[in-house]
Amino acid sequence: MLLFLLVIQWVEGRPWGPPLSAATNTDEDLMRSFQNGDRGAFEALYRKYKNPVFSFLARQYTNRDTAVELTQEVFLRVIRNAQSFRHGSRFTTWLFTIARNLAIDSVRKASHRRHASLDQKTNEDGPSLGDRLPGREPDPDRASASARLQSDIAKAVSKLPEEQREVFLLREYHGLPFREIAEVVQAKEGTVKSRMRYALEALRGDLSGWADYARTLP
Amino acid sequence: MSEECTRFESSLLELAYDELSPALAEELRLHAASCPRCRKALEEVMLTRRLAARLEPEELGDEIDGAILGAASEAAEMFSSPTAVADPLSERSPAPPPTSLRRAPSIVDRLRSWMLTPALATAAAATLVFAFTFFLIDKGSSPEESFEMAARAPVVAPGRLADRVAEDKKVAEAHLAAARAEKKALAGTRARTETEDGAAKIAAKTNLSRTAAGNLGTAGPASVKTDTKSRKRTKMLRGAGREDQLEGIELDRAPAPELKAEPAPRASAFGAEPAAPQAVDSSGDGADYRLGMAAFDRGDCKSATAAFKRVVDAEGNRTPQAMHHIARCQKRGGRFGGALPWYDKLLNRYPRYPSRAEALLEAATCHRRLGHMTKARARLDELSRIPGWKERAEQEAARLSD
Repeated sequence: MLLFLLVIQWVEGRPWGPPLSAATNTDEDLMRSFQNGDRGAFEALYRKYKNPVFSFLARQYTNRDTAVELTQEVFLRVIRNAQSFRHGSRFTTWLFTIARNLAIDSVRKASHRRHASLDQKTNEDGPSLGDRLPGREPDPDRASASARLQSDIAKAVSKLPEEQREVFLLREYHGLPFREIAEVVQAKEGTVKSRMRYALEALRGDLSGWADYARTLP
Repeated sequence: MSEECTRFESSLLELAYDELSPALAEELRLHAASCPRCRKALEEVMLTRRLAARLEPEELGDEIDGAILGAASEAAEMFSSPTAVADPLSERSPAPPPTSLRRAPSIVDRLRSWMLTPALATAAAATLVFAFTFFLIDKGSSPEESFEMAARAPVVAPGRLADRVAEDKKVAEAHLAAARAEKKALAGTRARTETEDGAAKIAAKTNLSRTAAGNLGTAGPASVKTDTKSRKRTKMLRGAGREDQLEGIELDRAPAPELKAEPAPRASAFGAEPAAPQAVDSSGDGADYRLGMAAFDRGDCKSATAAFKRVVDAEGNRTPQAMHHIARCQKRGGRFGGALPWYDKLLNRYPRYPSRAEALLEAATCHRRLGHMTKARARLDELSRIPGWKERAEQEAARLSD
């Protein structure tokens, strides 16, 4: 019984060691490795989620420069709190919760919310957000259509109310299931789905001119 | 609206985003095939998704890579340090109260938390390892120390258990020797000072009076050596609800070994200052470097550049890091032509600079932005020869061709 209780104490207090079977390299495995001192495991996570986190912050809350700073702070917090990551939870949920909370705090401190207009220059010599939306099709006509589409999509997304926009971004671009999104945004799953429906409806309306084009897409 | 349509509508989003089981998804698609209303609803969602998928994600350059990966390196070092892991006063695993005063944990609570954790097989193997280690460790160590040292043993396949047990015994003995040496060094004044703090903490945690807690003579809750007789007596008294008689028990005043790392070094090391490439601060340029970093962090490149230039002029240990930050300030402001001389100087003068790879990548980016494709390729060639950077160099080189 004493042995049993001691094992329980160990289980409660410490992260699990590596599994007996071969590592599957899931995000949670990588975090576990980092908790055990494997810097490379963190680097793999960082490279994988650097752009998604930045993209989420830039589109959801703020302009590019602030999004860069917030992205840095997100990952510094991941490092600082690495040992508190428990393996019952998903890494993506934890990561995006940190990102969302940081951004909300940042917006509160700034006491205004700015959504970069597509014509706003992001820095002195850099291109505007609209200029940065590339079209990759070799055909020049399709290239310009693609660029226009991206511009319209970005505008439509930025017009969404914040609550709908964050749900839409997390589901559509970051692949979080609705259950996880509910954890991130601290709402019920039903509420999350409801916001998603409204978001899709609003986007459908704003992008109605592209419906025929959408039918040609894979 | 039929019941099937209602069911379809309620599951529409999960269907559109593949969150349903294959069987249920198939059932709903069959319904949509025969129901124009539901089919239209699904099609509208899918069309919107197809359009939304065309939006290119925002991409972050390498501005923060150095800071983040530097911080991760420091953290990884701390995580793998034996002292930090064996720390009974670690923030992440608050130390238990002394053995003699520990309340028996509620079985229901323990079972509940245990049932929530995965891999019972891992727990079984860990139990075996722990049991062997616990009994092999010298009895002179406290249960808490033995516990932590045993718990460090990573889980291994049963086939290698004997080897690992022998290894763990050596590790445990080394830790114990280190702990004893520290204990001797810390005996005396510190024990007396910390005994008072420890007494207050224990008094707050238990029902004992402060005097009784003071009698425990502990420097922290981590470890209190008690002789077997006293411990047994205490248990008996507590079990009989006669805690008021605990005050008279004489307990060993041996202070806890100072195994802990500094309080929250991990948190404070990363505070507001991203861990840029670090150098030992043995020169007088530390203050200027810190000023420069603070300015850099808040986006004030003018002040940051001025501070870092002073560091460069002083030619101290942090000169390469300062040069790197000056280059980054220029790059951040879009002055790629101004950044390149600093990158060139850094890379030429300090071939063993720890963040050389990042500097090469940033220099290549500057060349690319100025249209110097040949020079950009040269820097990327060099980058590809650094271990772990070949793939990234190739990706960047591919962008030069676009």
